Amino acid sequence: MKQIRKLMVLVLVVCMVVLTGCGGKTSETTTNTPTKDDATQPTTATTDTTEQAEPAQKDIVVGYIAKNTVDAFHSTLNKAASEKLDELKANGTIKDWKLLDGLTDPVTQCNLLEDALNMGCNLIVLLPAESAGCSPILERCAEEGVPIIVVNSKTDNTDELATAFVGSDDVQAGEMMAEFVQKQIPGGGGYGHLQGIIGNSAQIQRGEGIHNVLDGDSKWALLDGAEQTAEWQAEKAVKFAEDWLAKYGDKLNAIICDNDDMSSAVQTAMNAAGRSDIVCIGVDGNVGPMTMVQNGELLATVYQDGASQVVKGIETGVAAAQGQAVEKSYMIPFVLITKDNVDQYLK
Amino acid sequence: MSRKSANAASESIRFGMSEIEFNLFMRRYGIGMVMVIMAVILAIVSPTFRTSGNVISILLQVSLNGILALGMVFVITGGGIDLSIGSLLALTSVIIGAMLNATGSIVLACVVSVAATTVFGLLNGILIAKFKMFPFVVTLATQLVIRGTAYIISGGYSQSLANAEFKEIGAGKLFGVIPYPVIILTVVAILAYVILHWTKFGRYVYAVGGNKNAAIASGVNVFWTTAGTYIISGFCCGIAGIIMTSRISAAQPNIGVGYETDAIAACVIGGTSFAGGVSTIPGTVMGIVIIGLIYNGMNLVGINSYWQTITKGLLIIGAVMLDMVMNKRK
Repeated sequence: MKQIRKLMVLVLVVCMVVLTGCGGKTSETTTNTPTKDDATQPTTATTDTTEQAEPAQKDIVVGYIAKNTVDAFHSTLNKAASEKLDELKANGTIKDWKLLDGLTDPVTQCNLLEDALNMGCNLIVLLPAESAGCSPILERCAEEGVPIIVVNSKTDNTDELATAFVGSDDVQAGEMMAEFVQKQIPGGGGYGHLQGIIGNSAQIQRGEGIHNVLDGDSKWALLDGAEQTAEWQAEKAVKFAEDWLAKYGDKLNAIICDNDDMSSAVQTAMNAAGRSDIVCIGVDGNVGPMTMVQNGELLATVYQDGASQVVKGIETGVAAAQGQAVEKSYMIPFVLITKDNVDQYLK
Repeated sequence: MSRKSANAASESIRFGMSEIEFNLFMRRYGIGMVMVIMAVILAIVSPTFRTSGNVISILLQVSLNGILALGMVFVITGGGIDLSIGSLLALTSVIIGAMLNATGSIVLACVVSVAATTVFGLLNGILIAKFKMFPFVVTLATQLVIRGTAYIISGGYSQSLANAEFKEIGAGKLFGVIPYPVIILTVVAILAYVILHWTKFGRYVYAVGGNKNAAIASGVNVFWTTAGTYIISGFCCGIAGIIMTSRISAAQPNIGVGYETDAIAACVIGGTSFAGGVSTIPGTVMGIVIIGLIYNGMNLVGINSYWQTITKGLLIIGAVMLDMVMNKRK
């Protein structure tokens, strides 16, 4: 028993040592001070982290605050960002960069910004979790004089405080989906709309785009009660879609979804129910739905070029940090993916 | 730990301490040692960790979870569990949003929101203590009710709060150094310490959590003791919710998902036994700091968040194992 107890304590301690130890390598590289600094400040390496307000053209340290590291779309973005930042680090444009996981939580992102500033980051790339809740991050950056690039979705104060915004116009995505449905079923009919989490800017704007097109089309009608939030989740979307199918039968001709995790799952369910004539379409261009397009199981999906957004965001940020003039806003267009062009985008 | 292990059976000598002394030493300071070792290692590995700015931001970061954990520790000590705290944060947030919009009074907004969370705490308590329903199930259900209520109040929309004074609660600093949330955490910790360790109610919580039947037999009012723990938890959620709302200066109905995990983890790491009846406030505070060190330290050192999640899980298992081994001796 005594042995076991001692062992437990030991295991805990070893746990800590291993976990902190295995990150040791990265931290060594991050804390390497340039030799000229060493000459003037031989005592400690912390000095370089405290000097944040240095003029541009200095060592750029990028703090990349991800929205999360778990959903497919953001994994793509994070991967593109890592590759780009590694490349910039390798060619000496930036000194270092950090990826910080926001866990889809604005409070966590606010905390991570403080960590980033403490670590001496002098350029922030933010993928906001929430439009309202992430606003203080931009205020803090403005206070500290650190440039911040907002990527993918806007915070409420992006237009005023961000150095630049790089994203896509979600209204356009909504319109593209609606127009595709019109084109596929020229005779019109009834449609359902599965929304993302309510209040998210992508949800609001994609819905706006859909209604822009279909509200003015007398041939199309939103079925009664067929606009519901499935919170971006495939299984919730399928439940709604199956209920609608049972309720409306042949009157249901199209289901438009705010993302393509939902639309692909719904299409699969409709195909299984023998209703492959129902047109399902969504936004994002995740691998699963794209593969379905390739196999002919799904007609189309609207590709949001997240990788280009984040790469452009990083380039813009670095340019701004180097003191170059940048535009306030860059829009990366959506692409309609059908069987004709899917191979080009599905890597 | 509050219940002194008086059953001094075997007195074998080790490390110059008797068996019992060693046991007590480990239970008291074991987790503290883990905390200190973590801090020392981080300080060696990461120069940024040592900066005063970082120490303050760790304290700021843990203040939210800390207040939640200090409420949670009462519930767990009393033999329960409260899964509704994440939703209560959201409820606080949207009530503050609605009240600030309607009245513009910060005091009123804070009072009403804390009152609301406290009432929901009481509701949890009544369902659990009066109707003898399982705490896990009750709070799992009320979590949904509360979340739904938050969505109804807000209409599903998040809303920016443009109130500069309200923002000061989360962003302001005493003497320009210590953030207000850290001060609030300190006050809550002291209050929790006094209530749990120095009052009759605190004794009753241990009694009910440790052995309910014995508590009933000794005339403890089990209903109010149990309900009291949930009321305290609800109250703490209200306080934490105010800080959170202020920090993001937005009223959001979808916020706080999964916050119960960290709060429970802090309690457990801090030596709170899930069987009830065993806990200390200083231990819980250490658990809170350890969770903060995990997040902050790993970010500074550059460990990716998948590993952070795993570490947290392993640490909880380690802490519970330690607890089991310690308790088995009795």
